[in-house]
Order: sequence, then C-alpha cells, then structure tokens
Amino acid sequence: MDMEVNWMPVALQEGHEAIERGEVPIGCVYVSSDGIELARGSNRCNEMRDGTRHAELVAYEQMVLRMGTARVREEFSRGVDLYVTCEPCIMCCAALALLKVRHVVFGCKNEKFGGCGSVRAIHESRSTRIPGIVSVKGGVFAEEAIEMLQKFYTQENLNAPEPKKKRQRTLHT
Amino acid sequence: MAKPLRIPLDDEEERSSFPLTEVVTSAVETSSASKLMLLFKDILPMDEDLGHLKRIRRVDNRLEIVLGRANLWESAQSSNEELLRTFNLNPVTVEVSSVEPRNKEEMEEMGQYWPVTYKPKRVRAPLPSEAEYEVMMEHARQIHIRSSSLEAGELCSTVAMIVDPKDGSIVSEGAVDTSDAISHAVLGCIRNAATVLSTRPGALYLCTGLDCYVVMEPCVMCTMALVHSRIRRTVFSQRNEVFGGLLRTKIHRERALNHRFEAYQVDLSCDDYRSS
Repeated sequence: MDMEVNWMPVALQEGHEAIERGEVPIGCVYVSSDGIELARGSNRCNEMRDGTRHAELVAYEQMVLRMGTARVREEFSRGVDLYVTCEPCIMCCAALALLKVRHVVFGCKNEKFGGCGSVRAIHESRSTRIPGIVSVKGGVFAEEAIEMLQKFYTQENLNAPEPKKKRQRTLHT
Repeated sequence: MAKPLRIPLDDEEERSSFPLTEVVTSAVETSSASKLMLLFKDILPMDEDLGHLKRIRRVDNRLEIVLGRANLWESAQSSNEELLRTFNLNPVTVEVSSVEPRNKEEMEEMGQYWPVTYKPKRVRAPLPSEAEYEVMMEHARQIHIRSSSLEAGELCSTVAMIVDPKDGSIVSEGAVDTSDAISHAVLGCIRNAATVLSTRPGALYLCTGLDCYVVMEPCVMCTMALVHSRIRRTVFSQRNEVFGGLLRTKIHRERALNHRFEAYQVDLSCDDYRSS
C-alpha cells in the first residue's frame, strides 16, 4: 500500500509531462526489489512516429541504456515492480511477461487495447506458456489517471490522419 | 509451388452439422403475440448466445413463441409466475440450433428446427493474385536466407523485414538481440521503419499499407506491435508453439482492436531455397 502511494504519483507526474509534449498521457516507473527507482518514462509515439513507443517500453529502454543489459537482467531476476497509470496494452503486457516483471500495478482500465483483462488477459492466458508476471492490480489512483487522459483528449491529436475538429468535446469534472 | 495459407478464423472452419440445444416454447394467441414480444424482451430476455433465433414462428395459422432455454426455464418461470399465468402458456420443449448460421443453406437447415436469422459477415479482402503470391514467396525465401546464419528462435522470429508491396522495396530490417528479453526482431524492424519513414516527405502514418515478413510466427508482443503499427499483412512459415500471436491467439483478428491485418503461413519445405 505504501509503495502504491509512493510510486503511482511518480508515474502520474510522468504522464502529465507527456501532455506537454502532445503525447497520450500515460506514465510509468519501474522499481527494484529494494524499493529503488530504476527508470521512469511516458509515451513517445507521436514524437518518434512509432506506435509501439509506449511508456512501459520507453522506460525499459532508458533503463537498459543507463545500466546495461547485464545489470538490468540481474535486477529483474531479483524482482522488479511496475507502476503505470493505465492498464498495459496487449503488447506491453506480453513484454512485461517476457521480462518477468513481478508486480504490475496500474491506474485506470484500457478498454481499447488492454492486455490485463480489458481486451485480452495475456498474463493469465493458458495458450501462452510464459510464466511471467506474478500479480496484477488495477484501480490504483484510477481517477487521477482518467482525469489526465480526459484533459488530453479534449485537445486535438495533430498527428492522427485527417484530424477532425472536436467541437463537441468539453471537459467534465 | 505451395500456396500460402491464410490463417483461418474460427468461424471459417468447415462444419458438416451444427449443435442443437433445447428451448421452451409455447403457442400463443395471434392477437396477443406482439404485446408478448415486447413484454418478454424485459421479463424473459433471450440469452445472448441464442440471439440468432427468431422469437416467434408461425406454424400453419398458429404462432409459437420462445420462452427461454430449457435448463433455465424453471427459475425463469418461478420468478414471473403470476404474470405468466395470465397468458395461458403451454410450455413445450423443442430442439433448436445453438449457433448462428454461416450461410443461407445453414439458415434453411436450421430453420427446420426453429427459424433463425442470418447476418452475412463483412466481405473479406480478396485472396492475392498468382502474381502477388509469387512476390510473397520471393520475400519469404529472402527472409529465410537471412535467418540461416542465426540460431532458430524459441519465442519469436529471429529476423524480420518490412516491405512496401507497391514496389517490392525493403523499408527496414530487424534481428533479435538475445542479450535482452524483449529486443525481438519485429519490434526492432518497426523501430527502424519509423526512423526511415520519418525522413521521407509525405510520410505514411506508421506502417500503413506495408507488409512484414518473418520466419517464425510473431509472438504476442510483436503481433500487437504490428497492430499498433497498422501493418497490412504478415507472412511467416514456422509456427510459434510457445507464444504465438496469430494461429491460436488471433490477435491480428481481434474485433475489439482498432486495426486488423491479414496473416499468411507459407510452406517453403518443398522449395529449393535451402540449396541456394
């Protein structure tokens, strides 16, 4: 519980910074088994013109760049937890399973792409034999995460093809 | 030359008969039928799995109405007993098709048990032409040759290549980095494509319209990465037994997602690519 109160605000902070850069505001932070921050990150899909640059992968890549693969592997073998503001998508959930992330704690649900139950449940699927992720917990600081996403979606995504005016959209708080 | 095999959906697999299930029905007064239909919508809603059944059928000059699944009838009845008594129902158990029809022929066959509605599915993309198959096989052979210097992967393809089908040019390539658990070839290939494409004037939105060639069926992570990238088609030859995203999990065909792509499995075993 203390861990959630400590770390989810860090992930939220990352998400808020993504708004400034015109990215979908989802942020995350990886924490070691000793409770030390390993890496934090947020979406960079628009900036990199790459739909796979989700917060979870961006932060992981930062970690590898800073620490090197050998040390990263060592940390993951001891147990690494992830705090992310929105339910990881199918791709990220599979990545977290491959990395054997210990605990995944997320904020709001991801109805469009969610891999932890919303669209698919990758971490508990019997058809995939990856004995990754130990536990998944959602709904942690969910309201804050949703508010952040709403704030973003009332703006316009200039990178989407044929952008449409969003006259109808107002922020309800 | 063996033709590439399109990964079929569950609903495309052959079937010679259809499963039956039991429902309770009752003859009703013609005059009260429409009123009953409306009322039953609320108090006896049809099981979602039985949405293909017509609620009412006409037999000669009588009308019969479906009351609900036979095994649930007892409890449904007891909770609405008084109301149902007023309609003079005479419950009879009949067999009906438990699945929706896939074509008009099935609709007619099923209708002999109880009428069903047939909703044609969206028309699928046409199969590629002979010439397109040739090009597809050529790229598939190419990626195989590239992989031969690497050990076969267990969790995902060791190599990947993104091709522009308009002119057959290679947009980007990727190879696995085994020192890292998620540096898969497909993911790397998408990264490289993004770098290349962002320098081109009038750049595409992600990998729209492009095709991905791999040796092994991409893993769940890479399949979803291809969905996110709006890839047009993925071609592979080897089944991914452990973590495949196409054959068993069919993530490329998930209707809940905002993009779907075609997937083909090619058979190169009778080809002479090994000797080349």
